[in-house]
Amino acid sequence: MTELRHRGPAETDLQAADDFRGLDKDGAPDGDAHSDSEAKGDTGLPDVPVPPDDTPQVLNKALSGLSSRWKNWWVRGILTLAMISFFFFIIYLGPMVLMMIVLCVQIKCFQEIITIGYSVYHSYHLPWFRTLSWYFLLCVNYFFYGETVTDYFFTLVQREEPLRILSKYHRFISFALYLTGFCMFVLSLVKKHYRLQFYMFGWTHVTLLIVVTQSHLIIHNLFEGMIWFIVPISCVICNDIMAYMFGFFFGRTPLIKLSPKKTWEGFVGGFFSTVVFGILLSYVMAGYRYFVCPVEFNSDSNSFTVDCQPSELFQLQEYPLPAVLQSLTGWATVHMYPFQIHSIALSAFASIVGPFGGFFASGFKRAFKIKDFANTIPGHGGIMDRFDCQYLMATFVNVYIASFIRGPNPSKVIQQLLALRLDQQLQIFNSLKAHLTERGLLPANEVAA
Amino acid sequence: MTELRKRGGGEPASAEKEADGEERLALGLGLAGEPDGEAEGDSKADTPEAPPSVDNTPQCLSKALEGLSSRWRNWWIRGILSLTMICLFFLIIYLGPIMLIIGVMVVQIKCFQEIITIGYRVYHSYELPWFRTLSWFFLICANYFFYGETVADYFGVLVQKEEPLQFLVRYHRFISFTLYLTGFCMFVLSLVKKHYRLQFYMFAWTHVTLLIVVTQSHLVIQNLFEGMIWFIVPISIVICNDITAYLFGFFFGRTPLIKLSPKKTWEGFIGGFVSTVIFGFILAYPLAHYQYFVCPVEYDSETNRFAVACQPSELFLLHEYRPPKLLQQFLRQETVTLFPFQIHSVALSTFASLIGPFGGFFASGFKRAFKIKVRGRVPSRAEPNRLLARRCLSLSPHHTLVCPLGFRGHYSGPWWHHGPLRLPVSDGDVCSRLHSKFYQGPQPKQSITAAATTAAGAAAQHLQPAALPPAGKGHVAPDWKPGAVRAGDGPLALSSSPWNRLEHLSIYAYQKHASNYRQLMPSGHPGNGLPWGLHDDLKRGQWAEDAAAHFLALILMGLSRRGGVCRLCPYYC
Repeated sequence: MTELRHRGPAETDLQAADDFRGLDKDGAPDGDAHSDSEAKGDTGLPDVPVPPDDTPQVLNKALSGLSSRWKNWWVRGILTLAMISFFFFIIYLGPMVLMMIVLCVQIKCFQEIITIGYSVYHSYHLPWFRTLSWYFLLCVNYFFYGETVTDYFFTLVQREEPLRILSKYHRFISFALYLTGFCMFVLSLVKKHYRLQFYMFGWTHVTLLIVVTQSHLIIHNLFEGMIWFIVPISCVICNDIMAYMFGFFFGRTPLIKLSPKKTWEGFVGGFFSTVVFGILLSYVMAGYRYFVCPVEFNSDSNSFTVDCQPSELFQLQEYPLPAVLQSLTGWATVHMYPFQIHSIALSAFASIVGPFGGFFASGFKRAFKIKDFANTIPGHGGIMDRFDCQYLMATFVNVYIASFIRGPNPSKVIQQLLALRLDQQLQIFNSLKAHLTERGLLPANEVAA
Repeated sequence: MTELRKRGGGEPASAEKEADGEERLALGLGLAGEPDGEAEGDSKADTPEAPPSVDNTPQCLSKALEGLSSRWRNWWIRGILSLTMICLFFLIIYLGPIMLIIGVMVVQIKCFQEIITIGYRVYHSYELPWFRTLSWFFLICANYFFYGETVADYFGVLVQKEEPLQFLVRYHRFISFTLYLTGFCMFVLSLVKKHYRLQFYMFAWTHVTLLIVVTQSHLVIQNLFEGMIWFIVPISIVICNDITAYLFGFFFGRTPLIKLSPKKTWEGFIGGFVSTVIFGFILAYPLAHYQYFVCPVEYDSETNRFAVACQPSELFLLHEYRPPKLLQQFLRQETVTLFPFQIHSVALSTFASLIGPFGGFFASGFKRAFKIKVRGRVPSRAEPNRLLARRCLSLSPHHTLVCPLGFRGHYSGPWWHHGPLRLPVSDGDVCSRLHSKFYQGPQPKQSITAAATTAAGAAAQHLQPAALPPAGKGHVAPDWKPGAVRAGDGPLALSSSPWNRLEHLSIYAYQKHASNYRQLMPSGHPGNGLPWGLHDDLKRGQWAEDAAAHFLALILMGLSRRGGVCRLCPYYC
């Protein structure tokens, strides 16, 4: 696809789109849930030579006998299994490692999208720009992690003096850092490249908005309890795989012009199977405290603990079945976790709205004429290719938790109270006492000794 | 200029109409002001579809200032409009917090609309399906989200009373997210095969604009709720910095500050800094006395109105300070009584003077990047979004985002900084106009066209006379539209040899222009903040000749399909 780019600025979108369509047909789409992540294709960067087939040698040898179509299948399958095992492994390792992994994924996604921006605008040699992009990434991460850390590591932060100052003036420091970057950008404007520089500035900011905020919402979800991290991600992965399977076996009616390989059969089949999968998975996971308890930082042992009394959401309750299901299964009531009902909502979102994230990424790839975001994972493309459907899911889970699950946190309120001045604390105490006395929870005529 | 555009459509035009147009342009350049600081027509005027801008000075002002020369006329108009805007500002402050919030919202919507229109123009994407609807929908979503967060905080009691409001507040994030998602899904569904890239660009443009404009305006409103003084003092400081930096630059300016804005000088910068600090210090003093300014704005649920009455916090109570020894001797007092707020105002002023201008540079860079010109207009001093630019960068330390917004004003500046060139500086129109003068009735009405023909004649001496398409001979096809000078157009696909000669001619003319320009402007930059030196008539004539040669070069380049932008002097292109 390098020749497309060299055709020059007079090229119209129409022409290019036609060419791209031609390429698509040639590419023998070997379908997966994402319409155009054909692995070994070049990423369209004119400067980078077409990357060679980077399937690991061992796989190549093992599969040398098969035809190329089945080879593709096997490569993808093996790598899928590898990634899923990797996922289980890091869950086993604990929250800290999960946070590290999320951070790494975020950095890689950011780098992939910025590289696409460079190739689109041929702006790889803009003065200062690479430095500035990474600097802005650092600033935004500092800001977000600072907000998280201040919340969750409160006692640790209060103990250490430099941390306390950093957390007290955290917003100001972040703002100063961002301003420095902004002023550097203004000072780096070069006459010939104004427009390019503004484009890259805008590109960086949109990427930050998309990538970094999402990853921080994921970490917020994680701190609520690992189940809020695992179940949504698993639902999205399951939806991908199931929709692909259903589409492969039963697919007839195309779903959307943007991704011609998606079908209504795949969509509906994926929806139902994801809901069922979500219910089953949450049933299994809700039994373990390791997944269910909020992640807390234990200041005595200086490590993360996941130990608590599971909330109501994760205690088995009896629900009466509606008449239809009663006659089907012969049970009058069923023992379920309330969380499983929430998981239906999560799965429904993952199946119905999640694919829009995938369409968005497909549209993006077509708009900028790239096959894959990058070539990191053989058989699948870049990291962004794997995470494009997760994009909206993290935000949804976070909003869902904030709106429906999380009540006011008493320990947090106490923390804030204790940070106030003494006379204010006394004032609050007195008004609280009056309120509780009024409600009858405290004895009415308490005489101070 | 309507007749120019119509001529682009192939209508014949009389020379008379054209002369009128030129004169009106010449006058309009120095004079056009904007009533009420609403910079309406500018960005639209650059799009080929919208009607061009006309002289906007109100009739009464034009009559009153008829007698003066154009330069002073300009000054007076700017001055009068500045005063008008400052009075409007005071009026709104008097009317109270609700009016201020509404004012901020109106400004925000206008800024958003302006930037989005620039985006449409840059990408020629005005007819993208659904996109205008989607942009406004995203604006509404973002505003709903932010206002909901604010309202829930400040109107707590009111919200608890009403049942539907309670529901809205409780699930506020979820509802906002759902609205946003709807917009997102509509965007994905609206992707059309031919326009993918454009649609993504506009999507990103909208989001960056929202990020800049909407978050800033909400931070402004949050500042307002802290106390109106936190709104008034930063804005006034930014305005003061603008005005004093300009005045210092005008009177003492010598050393240029930054290549991006060649009219800014170090003297202006430093002078503005010092005077802004002093002004902020002095302004804070009277304002801090009044509860109306100092108290947080609260909603009184009994009277259903906003109330500003409270016990002023420590910041706004007079304290005694001991100044350092030097100042003690200077003031002959041992202690001074100050509000602590005044010390904070020094910090705010410092920020406004040091970092605020970067917002202006950002906007200048943006305008240059996208070749937006304030064509011939006297930029009013306090257009809403320029205010927003500087003001947003000087938000109180409580709030933390920067707003490099501002799309009017400083680019072209007063006309004398560019020399007495009266021609409009847009692409296409002048070329078409001058072209028509050449080929459809060459009557040298003014010195400029005379110079143009002289330059053309001079150029012709160096090439065979047959090479120059002579006036009126009509080498050009009669139905050729001067406005459509773009590569790939049908009407220009004639035989190649006259175009080759045209190309040679254009190169020659361009070289002549370049040598003229370098003679007149050895430093390479018009206007270093020095208004002098371009007023004597000799130089005026030379500038005119240079301009003529330059425009000739542009026309010929356009005709010969080389296209191109004059890299030497972007002010003329």
